[in-house]
Amino acid sequence: MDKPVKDAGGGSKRGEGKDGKFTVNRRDFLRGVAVVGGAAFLGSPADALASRELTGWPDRVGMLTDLTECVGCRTCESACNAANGLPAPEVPFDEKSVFERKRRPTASAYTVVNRYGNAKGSGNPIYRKVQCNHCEEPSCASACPVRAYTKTPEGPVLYDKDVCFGCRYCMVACPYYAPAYDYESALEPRVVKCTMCHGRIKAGGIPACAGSCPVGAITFGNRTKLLKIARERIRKFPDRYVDQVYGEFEAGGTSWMYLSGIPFGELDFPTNLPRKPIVENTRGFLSAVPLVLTLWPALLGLCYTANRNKEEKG
Amino acid sequence: MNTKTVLTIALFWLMAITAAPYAGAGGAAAKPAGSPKGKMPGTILLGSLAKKYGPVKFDHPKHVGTAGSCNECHHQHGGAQAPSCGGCHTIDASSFKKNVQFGRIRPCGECHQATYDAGKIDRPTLAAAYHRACIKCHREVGSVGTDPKGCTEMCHESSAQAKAP
Repeated sequence: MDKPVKDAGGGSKRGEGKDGKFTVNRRDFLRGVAVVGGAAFLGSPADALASRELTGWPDRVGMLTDLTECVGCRTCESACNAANGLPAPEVPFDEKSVFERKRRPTASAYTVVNRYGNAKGSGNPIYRKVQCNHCEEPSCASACPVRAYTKTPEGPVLYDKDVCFGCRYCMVACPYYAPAYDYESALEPRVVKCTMCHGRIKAGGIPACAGSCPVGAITFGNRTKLLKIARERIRKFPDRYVDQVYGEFEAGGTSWMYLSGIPFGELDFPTNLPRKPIVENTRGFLSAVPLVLTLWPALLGLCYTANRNKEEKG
Repeated sequence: MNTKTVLTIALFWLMAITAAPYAGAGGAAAKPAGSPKGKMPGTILLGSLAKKYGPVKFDHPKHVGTAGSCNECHHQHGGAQAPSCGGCHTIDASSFKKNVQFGRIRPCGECHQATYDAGKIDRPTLAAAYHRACIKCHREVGSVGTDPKGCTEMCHESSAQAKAP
């Protein structure tokens, strides 16, 4: 057999004809068929057909919370409440008694600040702001059976209550326990979480919490730039920060990242998360399910018919 | 214009610039060594950003005594958290000339914008710059940084709006 001539298409990219239309030559077509056929029987994902190298949208934004700057004034909570038209809290925003227990975001508070003790340095308490981290590859979205979640090109992960039917798989899937559930109405189920003020970002503004933080502990901007800034701060002040940007790689990376002066595990950050997105655990299996369900009956049916014909003849 | 007139003008001009340093010598306020020329401010009302909280009455002379050096707060050249030159001065000839003025303490608002600037996300806004400068020392004082009420206990006048959600 002759060796295949490389680039027989006159220098055009593979799979692209001279006129720019998508063409497949016989060799590639057969290879694809072989892969799909093999996958149907083996149940492994058809990786050769779809590259899984997701690098994300280059202009996506993010947030960087510097936990060494936060002084626990709860202005971000108050600003978030006002921006989203949430109900007034049971205790006012300048009440420190809320710090006595660790809180989670709820249906009426998209973000909360928790207080932690600090053995390091001055001994001042450390405050941690909690909200949805807007993952690069959100597991809430991959777990949702009805596609109520969208990862927007801008970065925020949005939820559509009109599609949701209240199964709450997203709440189970989220490694950060971010989505909360609105139990107020039995007929209109609703998951509630931070939207990173997507509307404001689209209009050229910035998220309410970042805009209101009096000490500038929350920086909003292009995610790539934020990572550079975070690394630069760690380089400049090695005594001040632990050498980690939380959210850079955790579960495939998040839009919301953190810098801290003490190990993140001491601040209730999950530290057992893989570097790969959580959806990778199920992608292989789930992508094979449609193939198995469609191709196996057809192939087995063919075999059965062929055998039956043989028996009838014989 | 004849030579005599030119010489007279030159002489007066020379006298004027050599006398200038003595003009401000009668300043009453005790200034830290090496502080720039010009008048040091007294008590200032920091109210340009006051919305939720009342404006802050800031006693400048009192703080000078406590801090001991301008650099503690005015961190433009030297000091603990001095930004790099390029952090404030955009390095292109026109803007560099315009915003370099040696020997002058510049107001915070000249570098720190009041609102978000997508081009300078690592530079604190004006409010953040004020708060960081004050909290650097005041976090140890009273309940600042341990109780959200600390804001009104220490610096800000309490306002009913601050309590409102």
